[in-house]
Amino acid sequence: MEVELVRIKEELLASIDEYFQDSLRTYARTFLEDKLEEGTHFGLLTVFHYRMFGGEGERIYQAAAAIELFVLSCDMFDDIQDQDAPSKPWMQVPQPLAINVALGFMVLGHQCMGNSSLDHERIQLLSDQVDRLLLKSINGQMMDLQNDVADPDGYTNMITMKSASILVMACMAGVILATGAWNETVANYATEMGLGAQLYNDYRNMLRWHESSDILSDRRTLPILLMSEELEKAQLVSSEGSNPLALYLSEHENTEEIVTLLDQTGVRTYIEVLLKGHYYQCLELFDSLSPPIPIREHFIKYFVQPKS
Amino acid sequence: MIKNFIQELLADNSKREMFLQGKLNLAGVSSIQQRAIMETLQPEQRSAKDNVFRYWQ
Repeated sequence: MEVELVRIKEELLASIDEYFQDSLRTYARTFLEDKLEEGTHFGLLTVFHYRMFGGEGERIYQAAAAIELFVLSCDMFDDIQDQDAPSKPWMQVPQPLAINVALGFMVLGHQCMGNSSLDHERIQLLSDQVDRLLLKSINGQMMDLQNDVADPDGYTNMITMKSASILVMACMAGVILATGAWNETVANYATEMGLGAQLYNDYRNMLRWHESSDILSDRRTLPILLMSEELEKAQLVSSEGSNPLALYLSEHENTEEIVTLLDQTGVRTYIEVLLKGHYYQCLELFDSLSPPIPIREHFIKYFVQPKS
Repeated sequence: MIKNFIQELLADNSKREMFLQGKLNLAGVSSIQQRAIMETLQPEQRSAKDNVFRYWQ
């Protein structure tokens, strides 16, 4: 995977140098360096699926670079919209400049995508699907920004649109370039990965309690919805408030009681069951493609199992 | 009869699992979800799968 990451980075830097000038180039390189230091690389999913479905050659790294650019652009817009992640370099420059760089990344991603194959039909199909999935994610983001989630089903729907679409896009880019066709099984297990990853992220965020950005901003994630319901059932907060968990934490500095509630009401267990369910569903779908064992082990080790 | 059956189940852990799975089947819970439930409820079966999807943080 290290070799693939180096190649993706080479393509990214080459594209930035070719199409961005002056300060746009400087900011772009800085933001990209920060992104590449993270442990997650959606472009690697693209390369993995391309190879898994029999693709050969080096142009796939252009597609992987495109996916990284789309994800970075979306991440930047998300941080700017939420006004969180203050340590990120794009949050430490004037907002108009950060927005313009994010916009540049989105367009540069399409430029890279157009160079990722000599087969124009595949490029057209890829472009159509990427645009469709990005638009799906943007629609999901709108729901998130407006806090449109009212219940667990609403949360699942929003996450499927906003987050899972990005993973589907990353996987499917590789599949389409290798085969020239959409693969519904890949889309389905990528969706399970997206749902599991976002749920895990939201659960970890809630467990920060007083430092939880989601609780402070009244985001209705599934873990927060579940805990809020239990707080109201236990009559530990008023049922008339719009943010029961925030209200409870504002009145209780000690988190011992809320952690006990998390355990005794089964919320912790329920979330663990959901996560495990997404994992097994993801694997069952992946296995239905009958991958060779090394491919399967690689997939689990790099994209599904925890970092060591 | 039902009361005796329940008492028998409560006294015997292995049959409790069968009983629970029976209820899950009746409720239409998928086999995957049943597996997730049974594993989560049995501490001796916990494993690295309890920390999945951390890569995407």
